[in-house]
Amino acid sequence: MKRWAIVISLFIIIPAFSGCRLQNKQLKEFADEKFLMDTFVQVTVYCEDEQRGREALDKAFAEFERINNLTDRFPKDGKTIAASSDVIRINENAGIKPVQVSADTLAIIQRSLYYAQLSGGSFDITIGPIMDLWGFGKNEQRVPSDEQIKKTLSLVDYRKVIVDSENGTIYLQNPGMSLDLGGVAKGYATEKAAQILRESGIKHALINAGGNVYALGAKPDGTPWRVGVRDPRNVNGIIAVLSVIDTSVVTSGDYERYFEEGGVRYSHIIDPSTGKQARGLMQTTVIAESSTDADIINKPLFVLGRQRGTDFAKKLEGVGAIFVGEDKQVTFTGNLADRLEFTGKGDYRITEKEKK
Amino acid sequence: MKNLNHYIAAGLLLLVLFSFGVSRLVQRQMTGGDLRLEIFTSGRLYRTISLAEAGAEEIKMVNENGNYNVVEIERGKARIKEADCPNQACVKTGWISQPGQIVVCVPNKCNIIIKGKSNNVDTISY
Repeated sequence: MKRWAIVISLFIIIPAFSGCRLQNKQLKEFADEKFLMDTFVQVTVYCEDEQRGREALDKAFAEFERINNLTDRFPKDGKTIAASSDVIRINENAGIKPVQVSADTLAIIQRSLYYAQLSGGSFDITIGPIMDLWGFGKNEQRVPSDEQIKKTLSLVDYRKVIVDSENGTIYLQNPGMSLDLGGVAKGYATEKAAQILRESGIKHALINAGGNVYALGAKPDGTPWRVGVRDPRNVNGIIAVLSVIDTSVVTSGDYERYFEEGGVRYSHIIDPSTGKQARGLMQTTVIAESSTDADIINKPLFVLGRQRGTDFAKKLEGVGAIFVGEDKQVTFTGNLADRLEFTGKGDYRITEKEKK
Repeated sequence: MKNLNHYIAAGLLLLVLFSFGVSRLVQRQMTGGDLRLEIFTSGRLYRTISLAEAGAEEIKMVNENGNYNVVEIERGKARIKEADCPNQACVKTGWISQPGQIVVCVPNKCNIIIKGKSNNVDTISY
């Protein structure tokens, strides 16, 4: 009798090992990518029906395009100011009058101001004039003088963004102020695209918008998605892998947009309190349910640095973070321990900073 | 009767090992063999090159403004070797070889990306 038990159990084991998983046979993969929001947006969906899968993909990309058109900072060729993005119109009317905006723009700005307040201004969407001074966004980067920075910093203050949610208007109080939603728009677009996929009945999908990742559901075989975290000093390297389901993973680094002058690296991640580059960290990664939140939270973490950034992350419900310092020391919040593995590549020193 | 059972058990065990081996082999071929490079200019796909079969090759991409990027391809890897963009960020990125990796030249609107499947991760956050 015992032997028959062995034989029968082998019949169960064989299909398990040979990779036959009957329940997924009808799920097909559909993938596409487009160059949007100054970056590559890749979307992969799994669906039984080809037409439904393709439609879902198209809708997701349309959503990225829509959010991009609302939040673009620089006018498109041949478009008048009146027909331009909400952000351009808000900036054009700084110190003049409140501007009627879409519900999406309102939501992005409100969420941004929430985190600006929570982080004591370490994240500030009124950073526009400082970004222009450094030449980011226009690709004419230069190191400005301290005097220029000091003068321009007087235009940066998130408390001077007046939101009227009842009438759906935004007003920048002082002339010369300008919004830059570069630190949140991709995350918000990712979140909206994921929502569209869900509404289209998609149960398994992966969105990657220039490193802003959202994992919808689990993989078709039921296991978590495996999201690699880039080595900040080696474009071919991965320092860690996160296993996630229905979660966003967003990474910020000093290698994304930067220039070098006199042997010094000047990245696009600027401390709103000094108008200069945040130093000390090379990379932060935030894991959160909302892609908007994950995108935003990276910036205050990078600006606050390892110690204060960790304290800030620990205060946020359901948020995990990984910090990579310029000294190649890696720390992470304790709540990630069960879904984070390090690859051991790239000569980093890994220490767990805080148990949550 | 006892021996027969032993044979059946041993045969099935071999079958397990065999099917496990085959599935691993197929998996490996899928990951190593189908890496390909896609070259984009102004957001449109210009060319797809299989990285496994690629010989040494250089492709000069010139955009509508007359600005250029030189894409260099070797077996299993690619890079932007040269460009006339102001910040040279694309050239500094260096070689890429893993699926999901991208070199972007924002000013010249030239991008290269490696596509295909990887055993290790489904995507990369960067």
